[in-house]
Amino acid sequence: MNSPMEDRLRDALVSAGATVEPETLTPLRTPDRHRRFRVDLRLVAVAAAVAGVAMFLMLRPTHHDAPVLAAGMVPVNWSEGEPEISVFLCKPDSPFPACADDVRPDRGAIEQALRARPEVKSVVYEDQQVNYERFRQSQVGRDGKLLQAVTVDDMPDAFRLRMRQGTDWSAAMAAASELDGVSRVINQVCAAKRAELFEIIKEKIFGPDDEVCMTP
Amino acid sequence: MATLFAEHHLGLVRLALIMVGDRATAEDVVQEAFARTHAGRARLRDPSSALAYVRSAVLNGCRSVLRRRATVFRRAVPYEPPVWSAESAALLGEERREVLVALRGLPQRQREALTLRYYFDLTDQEVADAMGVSGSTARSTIARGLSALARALGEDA
Repeated sequence: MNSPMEDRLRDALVSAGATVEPETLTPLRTPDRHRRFRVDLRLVAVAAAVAGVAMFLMLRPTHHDAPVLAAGMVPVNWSEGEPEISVFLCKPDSPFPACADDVRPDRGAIEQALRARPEVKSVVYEDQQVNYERFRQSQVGRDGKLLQAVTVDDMPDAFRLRMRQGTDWSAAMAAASELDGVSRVINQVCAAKRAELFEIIKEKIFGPDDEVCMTP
Repeated sequence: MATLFAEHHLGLVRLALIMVGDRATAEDVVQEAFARTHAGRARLRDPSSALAYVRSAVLNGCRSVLRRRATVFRRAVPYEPPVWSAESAALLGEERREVLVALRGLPQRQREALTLRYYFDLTDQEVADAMGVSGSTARSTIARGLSALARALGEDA
């Protein structure tokens, strides 16, 4: 069917193309916003150390692409009387494994399940705008680089839980983190305790420890 | 868009390689196209046309590389021998190198059309979409390119 010229051309093109082997390709760098984000990672770390803001950063390989850096940024300043546990919800393109397959959180169902827990005293919903505002306020007086890097869209929606003293919070956290559409559950009290230095957070929250600051 | 690039990264680099000749430039072209289309991803309404769109972006990048080279009086020696160079004959074989050299001698549009058709096995319409021309133009460009190539190599189309 094919003419000899067509076959020859095909063959030459295939062999020329084959000189680029897949393993040797330089990975594509994720441009623009993500690249800016990666640069800002160091700033984030510094700001976190200074401001007592914990950043929950995750690197996730997307296919063969460069890792995409994503962040759920949560100020861990906590003072007496504030909700102790935060339950963060998945958002589109969330990097958290719990949010794979583009899970859309069913806000009503999650709230109902949280209220049903005996350890939970009260539940308040805070959308990303509220969380951004909280984050913004944590940055007042800082040099603003972190503020520039983080947008409202980077913020997750969340439920804030007031907990009953003397109950097993980690059981409630584990249960909450298993609900569909929940990306991460943070114990703000123990996270705040450890937020003095970013390094400590990294070690303690991500490492094994008795007290559960974060699930999953 | 990022996923699309990840899946087609290799193919796009190979396409660019055949167009610009050296691998380093080919990778740069694809990277730049990726950066550009990534910035414009919100404007892309029809996801099914995304692949044609990134192919066009890569071809456009190749065109500007070639334009730049043509305007530089004596361009710097490439630090990598192009695929159609004598050095690469060892890798490809002389027969294949001849074809690549002849391909390189064709007008840019014909090279693009032939590469898209015979390397990527695209249909006339897909070639047309990637090149931003009509289906019939793509068809005739392929036919003309093929006979020009055959002429250059002293073969029958």
